Amino acid sequence: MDGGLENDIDVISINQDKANEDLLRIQVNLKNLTKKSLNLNYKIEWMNVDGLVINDSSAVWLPLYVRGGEIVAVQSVASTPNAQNFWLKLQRSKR
Amino acid sequence: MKYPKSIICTLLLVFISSCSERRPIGRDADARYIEDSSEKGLVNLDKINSQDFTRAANSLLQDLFLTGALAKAPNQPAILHIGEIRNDTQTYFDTDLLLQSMKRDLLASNRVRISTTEGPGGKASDTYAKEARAKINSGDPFFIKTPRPYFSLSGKIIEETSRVDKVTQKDFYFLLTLTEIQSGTGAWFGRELITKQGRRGAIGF
Repeated sequence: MDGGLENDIDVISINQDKANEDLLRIQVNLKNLTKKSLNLNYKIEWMNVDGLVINDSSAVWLPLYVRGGEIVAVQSVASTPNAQNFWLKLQRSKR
Repeated sequence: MKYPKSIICTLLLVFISSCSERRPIGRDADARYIEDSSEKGLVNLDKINSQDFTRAANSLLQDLFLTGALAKAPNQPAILHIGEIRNDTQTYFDTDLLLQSMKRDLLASNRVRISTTEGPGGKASDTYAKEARAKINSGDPFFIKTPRPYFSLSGKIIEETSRVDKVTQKDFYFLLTLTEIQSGTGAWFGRELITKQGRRGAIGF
């Protein structure tokens, strides 16, 4: 997390299963701990079993708007069966 | 006609300075490289930019994988033909800007193999490979003229513009259809909407 976001956003839980039989699918449930709405950007980077980052189209910043006190789910599906782990990167949007 | 010395000196100074090497200096010299699909990229309202293409490709692929449509092919990996993707927006761009990253991720999923020797209207994306393949296989009695595709991917990109006062909203719809060729029916209908709103472009988002 970026710029003091750890005080504003909490990771409540992480769920995972398989899509298309062998592709890892994850859902990260986030809660806005503040009363104000937050404009965020997030990015998910997939890693293989050796921890090497997989270069796929998931690695793009996506907008995320979370109202005060709201819980939102960030979902992603890996594009390759080699993906075994992931990073979720969060930062405040500029505007 | 006599000119005052001060005017001649000023003109000479302007002439000399205009002949010297031009170097960008000060705050204006700010060109730099930014990473692919960076949040520091330009956000323009009038057209689809690199972040938009990557976002659309990513969202459409995620949806395609979630439906499990590719896993329904009897033979894995199934052969996929890339059909026509029509650009119905106001600006010209090559639709490979959307398709190339999709093809890469589709191949990585191990669910499909993508034909590069067959395309819409008989046009191959790799004409040399198509010709070479035909030449090599011409003497083979078991030669199959074209790879037998199971799926075909086609679609279009549409642009809608709305304005209220000085605020413009651009909606770019990425509509893709995966067709199961044998039955001629749609196996997946993907829709991704990228909306941008504002008075003018911005740097970063």
